[in-house]
Amino acid sequence: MKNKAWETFDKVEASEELKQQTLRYVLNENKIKRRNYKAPIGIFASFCIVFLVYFQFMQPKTIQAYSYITMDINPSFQLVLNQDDHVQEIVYYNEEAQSVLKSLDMKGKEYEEALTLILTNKEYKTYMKEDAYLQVSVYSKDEKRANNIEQNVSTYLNKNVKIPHECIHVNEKTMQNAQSHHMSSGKYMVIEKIVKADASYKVDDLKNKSMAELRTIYYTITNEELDTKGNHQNGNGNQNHKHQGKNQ
Amino acid sequence: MKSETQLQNAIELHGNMIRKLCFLHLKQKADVDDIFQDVFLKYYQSDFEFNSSEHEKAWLIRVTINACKDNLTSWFHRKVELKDDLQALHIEAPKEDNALLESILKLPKKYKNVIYLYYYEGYKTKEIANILEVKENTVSTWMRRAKDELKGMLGGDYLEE
Repeated sequence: MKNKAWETFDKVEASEELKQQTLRYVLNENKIKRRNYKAPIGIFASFCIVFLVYFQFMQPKTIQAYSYITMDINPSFQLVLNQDDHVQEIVYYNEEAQSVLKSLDMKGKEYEEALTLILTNKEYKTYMKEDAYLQVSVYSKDEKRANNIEQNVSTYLNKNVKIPHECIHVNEKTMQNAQSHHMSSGKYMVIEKIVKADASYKVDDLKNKSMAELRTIYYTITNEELDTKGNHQNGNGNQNHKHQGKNQ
Repeated sequence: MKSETQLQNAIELHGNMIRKLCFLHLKQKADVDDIFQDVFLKYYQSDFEFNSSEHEKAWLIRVTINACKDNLTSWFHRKVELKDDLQALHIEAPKEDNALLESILKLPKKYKNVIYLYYYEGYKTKEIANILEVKENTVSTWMRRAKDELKGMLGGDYLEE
Protein backbone atom coordinates (compact mmCIF):
# COMPACT_ATOMS: atom_id res chain seq x y z
CA MET A 1 0.00 0.00 0.00
CA LYS A 2 2.96 2.29 0.50
CA ASN A 3 3.84 4.65 -2.28
CA LYS A 4 7.13 6.45 -2.79
CA ALA A 5 6.14 9.37 -0.62
CA TRP A 6 6.00 7.07 2.39
CA GLU A 7 9.62 6.06 1.92
CA THR A 8 10.65 9.09 3.95
CA PHE A 9 8.73 7.61 6.78
CA ASP A 10 10.79 4.43 6.59
CA LYS A 11 13.73 6.49 7.79
CA VAL A 12 11.98 7.14 11.08
CA GLU A 13 13.12 4.18 13.08
CA ALA A 14 14.33 3.26 16.51
CA SER A 15 18.12 3.30 16.60
CA GLU A 16 20.02 0.44 18.19
CA GLU A 17 21.14 2.89 20.85
CA LEU A 18 17.51 3.75 21.71
CA LYS A 19 16.58 0.08 21.82
CA GLN A 20 19.43 -0.72 24.19
CA GLN A 21 18.71 2.33 26.33
CA THR A 22 15.07 1.27 26.52
CA LEU A 23 15.98 -2.25 27.48
CA ARG A 24 18.26 -1.01 30.26
CA TYR A 25 15.72 1.58 31.41
CA VAL A 26 12.84 -0.89 31.59
CA LEU A 27 14.85 -3.55 33.42
CA ASN A 28 16.42 -1.05 35.84
CA GLU A 29 13.13 0.69 36.45
CA ASN A 30 11.73 -2.61 37.39
CA LYS A 31 14.61 -3.26 39.78
CA ILE A 32 14.02 0.17 41.30
CA LYS A 33 10.37 -0.70 41.69
CA ARG A 34 11.33 -3.92 43.38
CA ARG A 35 13.51 -1.96 45.77
CA ASN A 36 10.74 0.52 46.32
CA TYR A 37 10.08 0.60 50.06
CA LYS A 38 6.61 2.12 49.67
CA ALA A 39 4.97 -1.22 49.12
CA PRO A 40 6.57 -3.01 52.09
CA ILE A 41 5.91 0.02 54.29
CA GLY A 42 2.30 0.05 53.14
CA ILE A 43 1.94 -3.63 53.88
CA PHE A 44 3.62 -3.21 57.25
CA ALA A 45 1.40 -0.24 58.12
CA SER A 46 -1.70 -2.21 57.12
CA PHE A 47 -0.53 -5.11 59.24
CA CYS A 48 0.01 -2.81 62.21
CA ILE A 49 -3.47 -1.33 61.85
CA VAL A 50 -5.03 -4.78 61.67
CA PHE A 51 -2.91 -5.86 64.64
CA LEU A 52 -3.91 -2.83 66.71
CA VAL A 53 -7.58 -3.12 65.84
CA TYR A 54 -7.48 -6.81 66.64
CA PHE A 55 -5.85 -6.34 70.02
CA GLN A 56 -7.82 -3.23 70.87
CA PHE A 57 -11.29 -4.34 69.93
CA MET A 58 -11.47 -7.86 68.65
CA GLN A 59 -9.13 -9.77 70.89
CA PRO A 60 -10.82 -13.01 71.90
CA LYS A 61 -11.88 -12.81 75.48
CA THR A 62 -9.85 -15.91 76.29
CA ILE A 63 -6.52 -14.15 75.73
CA GLN A 64 -7.28 -10.96 77.63
CA ALA A 65 -5.97 -10.71 81.20
CA TYR A 66 -9.07 -10.59 83.32
CA SER A 67 -8.30 -11.71 86.85
CA TYR A 68 -5.19 -11.96 89.00
CA ILE A 69 -4.28 -14.17 91.94
CA THR A 70 -1.13 -13.35 93.87
CA MET A 71 0.45 -15.68 96.39
CA ASP A 72 3.10 -14.76 98.94
CA ILE A 73 4.80 -16.91 101.49
CA ASN A 74 8.05 -15.91 100.45
CA PRO A 75 8.02 -17.11 96.93
CA SER A 76 5.97 -14.25 95.54
CA PHE A 77 4.16 -14.52 92.23
CA GLN A 78 1.00 -13.75 90.35
CA LEU A 79 -1.23 -15.95 88.25
CA VAL A 80 -2.81 -13.98 85.43
CA LEU A 81 -6.14 -15.48 84.41
CA ASN A 82 -8.16 -15.02 81.26
CA GLN A 83 -11.89 -14.55 81.20
CA ASP A 84 -12.37 -18.30 81.35
CA ASP A 85 -10.34 -18.46 84.59
CA HIS A 86 -7.46 -20.25 82.93
CA VAL A 87 -3.88 -19.31 83.73
CA GLN A 88 -2.46 -17.37 80.81
CA GLU A 89 0.70 -16.05 82.43
CA ILE A 90 2.76 -16.35 85.60
CA VAL A 91 4.56 -13.27 86.89
CA TYR A 92 7.44 -13.99 89.26
CA TYR A 93 8.11 -11.26 91.81
CA ASN A 94 11.26 -12.82 93.29
CA GLU A 95 13.89 -15.38 92.43
CA GLU A 96 12.50 -17.91 94.87
CA ALA A 97 9.21 -17.95 93.01
CA GLN A 98 10.95 -18.41 89.71
CA SER A 99 13.15 -21.19 91.03
CA VAL A 100 10.25 -23.08 92.61
CA LEU A 101 7.60 -22.61 89.96
CA LYS A 102 9.46 -22.61 86.66
CA SER A 103 9.15 -26.39 86.36
CA LEU A 104 5.37 -26.32 86.84
CA ASP A 105 3.28 -26.33 83.71
CA MET A 106 0.37 -24.12 84.73
CA LYS A 107 -0.40 -22.23 81.56
CA GLY A 108 -3.82 -23.01 80.17
CA LYS A 109 -4.94 -24.74 83.36
CA GLU A 110 -7.81 -23.61 85.56
CA TYR A 111 -6.66 -21.68 88.61
CA GLU A 112 -7.81 -24.40 91.03
CA GLU A 113 -5.74 -26.92 89.14
CA ALA A 114 -2.79 -24.51 89.21
CA LEU A 115 -3.23 -24.08 92.97
CA THR A 116 -3.09 -27.86 93.42
CA LEU A 117 0.11 -28.02 91.39
CA ILE A 118 1.68 -25.27 93.49
CA LEU A 119 0.61 -26.46 96.91
CA THR A 120 1.56 -30.07 96.25
CA ASN A 121 4.94 -29.13 94.83
CA LYS A 122 7.77 -30.48 96.97
CA GLU A 123 9.89 -27.37 96.80
CA TYR A 124 6.96 -25.07 97.54
CA LYS A 125 6.04 -27.20 100.53
CA THR A 126 9.43 -26.46 102.08
CA TYR A 127 8.27 -22.87 102.56
CA MET A 128 5.05 -23.89 104.25
CA LYS A 129 6.51 -24.13 107.74
CA GLU A 130 4.55 -23.60 110.90
CA ASP A 131 5.91 -20.08 111.37
CA ALA A 132 5.16 -19.08 107.77
CA TYR A 133 2.16 -17.11 106.56
CA LEU A 134 0.49 -17.53 103.17
CA GLN A 135 -1.06 -14.36 101.82
CA VAL A 136 -3.30 -14.67 98.78
CA SER A 137 -4.93 -11.75 97.02
CA VAL A 138 -7.44 -11.66 94.21
CA TYR A 139 -8.30 -8.93 91.76
CA SER A 140 -10.68 -9.15 88.84
CA LYS A 141 -12.10 -6.66 86.37
CA ASP A 142 -15.47 -8.03 87.37
CA GLU A 143 -16.42 -7.61 91.02
CA LYS A 144 -18.62 -10.71 91.08
CA ARG A 145 -15.88 -12.76 89.50
CA ALA A 146 -13.41 -11.50 92.13
CA ASN A 147 -15.75 -12.54 94.93
CA ASN A 148 -16.27 -15.90 93.34
CA ILE A 149 -12.55 -16.58 92.89
CA GLU A 150 -11.82 -15.36 96.42
CA GLN A 151 -14.50 -17.66 97.83
CA ASN A 152 -13.21 -20.66 95.89
CA VAL A 153 -9.57 -20.04 96.77
CA SER A 154 -10.43 -19.55 100.44
CA THR A 155 -12.37 -22.78 100.53
CA TYR A 156 -9.52 -24.56 98.81
CA LEU A 157 -6.90 -23.15 101.18
CA ASN A 158 -8.97 -23.89 104.27
CA LYS A 159 -9.23 -27.47 103.15
CA ASN A 160 -5.64 -28.02 102.02
CA VAL A 161 -3.34 -25.59 103.81
CA LYS A 162 -2.42 -26.19 107.42
CA ILE A 163 -0.38 -23.03 108.04
CA PRO A 164 -1.85 -19.58 108.79
CA HIS A 165 -3.19 -18.04 105.62
CA GLU A 166 -5.48 -15.39 104.30
CA CYS A 167 -7.24 -14.69 101.03
CA ILE A 168 -8.45 -11.19 100.33
CA HIS A 169 -9.60 -9.39 97.27
CA VAL A 170 -8.08 -6.04 96.47
CA ASN A 171 -9.29 -3.02 94.58
CA GLU A 172 -7.90 -1.69 91.34
CA LYS A 173 -5.85 1.05 92.98
CA THR A 174 -4.00 -1.40 95.25
CA MET A 175 -3.44 -3.64 92.27
CA GLN A 176 -1.95 -0.78 90.21
CA ASN A 177 0.22 0.47 93.08
CA ALA A 178 1.54 -3.04 93.66
CA GLN A 179 2.36 -3.46 89.99
CA SER A 180 4.15 -0.13 89.91
CA HIS A 181 6.45 -1.47 92.70
CA HIS A 182 6.69 -4.83 90.95
CA MET A 183 5.26 -6.78 93.84
CA SER A 184 2.16 -8.78 94.57
CA SER A 185 -0.92 -6.86 95.63
CA GLY A 186 -1.26 -8.99 98.81
CA LYS A 187 2.23 -8.10 99.93
CA TYR A 188 1.85 -4.47 98.89
CA MET A 189 -1.28 -4.15 100.96
CA VAL A 190 0.53 -5.38 104.09
CA ILE A 191 3.56 -3.18 103.42
CA GLU A 192 1.28 -0.20 102.94
CA LYS A 193 -0.13 -0.79 106.41
CA ILE A 194 3.35 -0.98 107.92
CA VAL A 195 4.44 2.24 106.22
CA LYS A 196 1.26 3.92 107.36
CA ALA A 197 1.95 2.83 110.94
CA ASP A 198 5.63 3.84 110.82
CA ALA A 199 6.75 6.20 108.08
CA SER A 200 10.41 5.33 108.67
CA TYR A 201 9.79 2.11 106.72
CA LYS A 202 9.99 2.34 102.95
CA VAL A 203 8.09 0.13 100.53
CA ASP A 204 11.22 -0.94 98.66
CA ASP A 205 13.02 -1.87 101.91
CA LEU A 206 10.23 -4.26 102.82
CA LYS A 207 9.43 -5.85 99.48
CA ASN A 208 11.88 -8.75 99.92
CA LYS A 209 10.60 -9.77 103.36
CA SER A 210 8.46 -12.86 103.77
CA MET A 211 4.84 -12.46 104.76
CA ALA A 212 5.55 -13.82 108.25
CA GLU A 213 8.36 -11.26 108.67
CA LEU A 214 6.11 -8.42 107.51
CA ARG A 215 3.41 -9.44 109.96
CA THR A 216 5.97 -9.55 112.74
CA ILE A 217 7.16 -6.04 111.83
CA TYR A 218 3.60 -4.79 111.90
CA TYR A 219 3.01 -6.44 115.27
CA THR A 220 6.23 -4.91 116.63
CA ILE A 221 5.17 -1.43 115.57
CA THR A 222 1.52 -1.55 116.57
CA ASN A 223 1.38 -4.32 119.14
CA GLU A 224 -1.63 -5.59 117.20
CA GLU A 225 -2.21 -8.45 114.81
CA LEU A 226 -2.48 -7.24 111.22
CA ASP A 227 -6.07 -7.03 110.15
CA THR A 228 -6.67 -6.51 106.49
CA LYS A 229 -10.38 -6.99 106.81
CA GLY A 230 -12.50 -4.35 105.15
CA ASN A 231 -9.64 -2.12 103.98
CA HIS A 232 -9.11 -3.15 100.40
CA GLN A 233 -12.39 -4.44 99.22
CA ASN A 234 -14.72 -2.91 96.77
CA GLY A 235 -17.78 -2.04 98.80
CA ASN A 236 -18.84 -5.31 100.32
CA GLY A 237 -17.05 -5.53 103.63
CA ASN A 238 -17.57 -9.25 104.00
CA GLN A 239 -15.14 -10.48 101.38
CA ASN A 240 -12.12 -11.20 103.48
CA HIS A 241 -11.34 -14.78 104.33
CA LYS A 242 -8.86 -15.32 107.07
CA HIS A 243 -7.83 -18.63 108.49
CA GLN A 244 -5.30 -19.03 111.23
CA GLY A 245 -4.64 -22.68 110.61
CA LYS A 246 -4.82 -25.49 113.12
CA ASN A 247 -1.76 -24.40 115.03
CA GLN A 248 -2.78 -20.79 115.58
CA MET B 1 4.99 -9.36 33.93
CA LYS B 2 6.84 -10.19 30.76
CA SER B 3 10.22 -11.86 30.57
CA GLU B 4 13.38 -10.10 29.47
CA THR B 5 13.35 -12.14 26.26
CA GLN B 6 9.77 -11.11 25.50
CA LEU B 7 10.76 -7.50 26.07
CA GLN B 8 13.77 -7.77 23.78
CA ASN B 9 11.66 -9.40 21.06
CA ALA B 10 8.96 -6.75 21.33
CA ILE B 11 11.49 -3.92 21.08
CA GLU B 12 13.07 -5.56 18.07
CA LEU B 13 9.78 -6.35 16.36
CA HIS B 14 7.73 -3.26 17.12
CA GLY B 15 10.37 -0.65 18.04
CA ASN B 16 10.35 1.05 14.66
CA MET B 17 6.58 1.22 14.54
CA ILE B 18 6.40 2.74 18.04
CA ARG B 19 9.08 5.26 17.11
CA LYS B 20 7.10 6.31 14.01
CA LEU B 21 3.89 6.73 16.00
CA CYS B 22 5.70 8.83 18.59
CA PHE B 23 7.27 10.85 15.82
CA LEU B 24 3.84 11.53 14.31
CA HIS B 25 2.50 13.01 17.51
CA LEU B 26 5.35 14.53 19.43
CA LYS B 27 7.36 17.59 18.64
CA GLN B 28 10.48 16.94 20.66
CA LYS B 29 13.02 14.16 20.24
CA ALA B 30 13.34 13.94 24.02
CA ASP B 31 9.58 13.33 24.29
CA VAL B 32 9.72 10.73 21.55
CA ASP B 33 12.44 8.82 23.40
CA ASP B 34 10.62 9.14 26.74
CA ILE B 35 7.34 7.81 25.40
CA PHE B 36 9.15 5.05 23.53
CA GLN B 37 10.69 3.85 26.80
CA ASP B 38 7.50 4.27 28.81
CA VAL B 39 5.50 2.21 26.33
CA PHE B 40 7.91 -0.68 26.68
CA LEU B 41 7.96 -0.29 30.45
CA LYS B 42 4.17 -0.69 30.43
CA TYR B 43 4.52 -3.66 28.14
CA TYR B 44 7.10 -5.29 30.42
CA GLN B 45 5.02 -4.75 33.54
CA SER B 46 1.73 -5.83 32.01
CA ASP B 47 0.21 -9.20 32.79
CA PHE B 48 -1.79 -9.09 29.58
CA GLU B 49 -1.63 -12.32 27.58
CA PHE B 50 -1.47 -11.73 23.82
CA ASN B 51 -3.04 -14.19 21.40
CA SER B 52 -0.63 -13.33 18.60
CA SER B 53 2.03 -10.94 17.46
CA GLU B 54 -0.67 -8.91 15.69
CA HIS B 55 -2.64 -8.70 18.90
CA GLU B 56 0.50 -7.53 20.71
CA LYS B 57 1.16 -4.95 17.99
CA ALA B 58 -2.40 -3.57 18.19
CA TRP B 59 -2.03 -3.28 22.00
CA LEU B 60 1.25 -1.40 21.62
CA ILE B 61 -0.27 0.98 19.07
CA ARG B 62 -3.14 1.82 21.40
CA VAL B 63 -0.82 2.31 24.39
CA THR B 64 1.53 4.50 22.34
CA ILE B 65 -1.26 6.71 21.00
CA ASN B 66 -2.67 7.14 24.51
CA ALA B 67 0.77 7.89 25.95
CA CYS B 68 1.35 10.53 23.28
CA LYS B 69 -2.05 12.03 23.99
CA ASP B 70 -1.26 12.19 27.71
CA ASN B 71 2.08 13.79 26.98
CA LEU B 72 0.55 16.45 24.77
CA THR B 73 -2.17 17.29 27.26
CA SER B 74 0.29 17.64 30.14
CA TRP B 75 0.58 21.08 31.72
CA PHE B 76 4.08 21.60 30.35
CA HIS B 77 3.11 20.94 26.76
CA ARG B 78 -0.05 23.00 26.97
CA LYS B 79 1.92 26.00 28.24
CA VAL B 80 5.18 25.65 26.35
CA GLU B 81 5.42 25.53 22.60
CA LEU B 82 8.34 23.37 21.56
CA LYS B 83 9.22 22.11 18.18
CA ASP B 84 12.08 20.26 16.57
CA ASP B 85 12.22 20.12 12.81
CA LEU B 86 12.80 16.93 10.85
CA GLN B 87 16.55 17.46 10.83
CA ALA B 88 16.57 17.59 14.60
CA LEU B 89 14.80 14.27 14.52
CA HIS B 90 17.56 12.94 12.27
CA ILE B 91 15.32 12.58 9.22
CA GLU B 92 17.12 13.34 6.01
CA ALA B 93 15.14 13.10 2.80
CA PRO B 94 14.68 14.98 -0.49
CA LYS B 95 12.55 18.06 0.02
CA GLU B 96 9.66 16.78 -2.11
CA ASP B 97 9.49 13.55 -0.10
CA ASN B 98 9.44 15.53 3.10
CA ALA B 99 6.38 17.42 1.92
CA LEU B 100 3.95 14.56 2.61
CA LEU B 101 5.49 13.81 5.94
CA GLU B 102 5.43 17.44 6.99
CA SER B 103 1.81 17.73 5.90
CA ILE B 104 0.79 14.62 7.84
CA LEU B 105 2.49 16.05 10.91
CA LYS B 106 0.28 19.11 10.60
CA LEU B 107 -2.93 17.05 10.69
CA PRO B 108 -5.04 16.72 13.84
CA LYS B 109 -4.06 13.75 16.00
CA LYS B 110 -6.96 11.49 15.11
CA TYR B 111 -6.41 12.04 11.37
CA LYS B 112 -2.70 11.28 11.66
CA ASN B 113 -3.49 7.98 13.29
CA VAL B 114 -5.90 6.72 10.66
CA ILE B 115 -3.70 7.87 7.78
CA TYR B 116 -0.65 6.19 9.27
CA LEU B 117 -2.42 2.98 10.22
CA TYR B 118 -4.23 2.69 6.91
CA TYR B 119 -1.58 3.73 4.42
CA TYR B 120 1.62 2.81 6.19
CA GLU B 121 0.72 -0.14 8.40
CA GLY B 122 -1.85 -1.48 5.97
CA TYR B 123 -4.67 -1.92 8.47
CA LYS B 124 -8.26 -2.10 7.22
CA THR B 125 -10.85 0.39 8.40
CA LYS B 126 -12.47 -2.18 10.68
CA GLU B 127 -9.14 -3.07 12.27
CA ILE B 128 -8.33 0.59 12.81
CA ALA B 129 -11.73 1.03 14.45
CA ASN B 130 -10.91 -1.83 16.83
CA ILE B 131 -7.47 -0.49 17.67
CA LEU B 132 -8.68 3.05 18.27
CA GLU B 133 -11.88 1.81 19.93
CA VAL B 134 -14.14 3.93 17.73
CA LYS B 135 -16.84 3.09 15.18
CA GLU B 136 -15.85 2.04 11.70
CA ASN B 137 -17.84 4.95 10.25
CA THR B 138 -15.88 7.34 12.39
CA VAL B 139 -12.63 5.96 10.98
CA SER B 140 -13.97 6.41 7.44
CA THR B 141 -15.00 9.98 8.20
CA TRP B 142 -11.63 10.83 9.70
CA MET B 143 -9.92 9.24 6.70
CA ARG B 144 -11.94 11.28 4.24
CA ARG B 145 -11.33 14.52 6.10
CA ALA B 146 -7.63 13.78 6.47
CA LYS B 147 -7.27 13.16 2.75
CA ASP B 148 -9.14 16.36 1.96
CA GLU B 149 -6.83 18.35 4.22
CA LEU B 150 -3.74 16.76 2.68
CA LYS B 151 -5.00 17.53 -0.80
CA GLY B 152 -5.46 21.12 0.23
CA MET B 153 -1.92 21.30 1.59
CA LEU B 154 -0.13 19.37 -1.17
CA GLY B 155 -2.28 20.29 -4.14
CA GLY B 156 -2.78 16.67 -5.24
CA ASP B 157 -3.45 13.13 -4.10
CA TYR B 158 0.01 12.07 -2.97
CA LEU B 159 -1.38 9.22 -0.96
CA GLU B 160 -2.81 7.41 -3.93
CA GLU B 161 0.24 7.82 -6.19
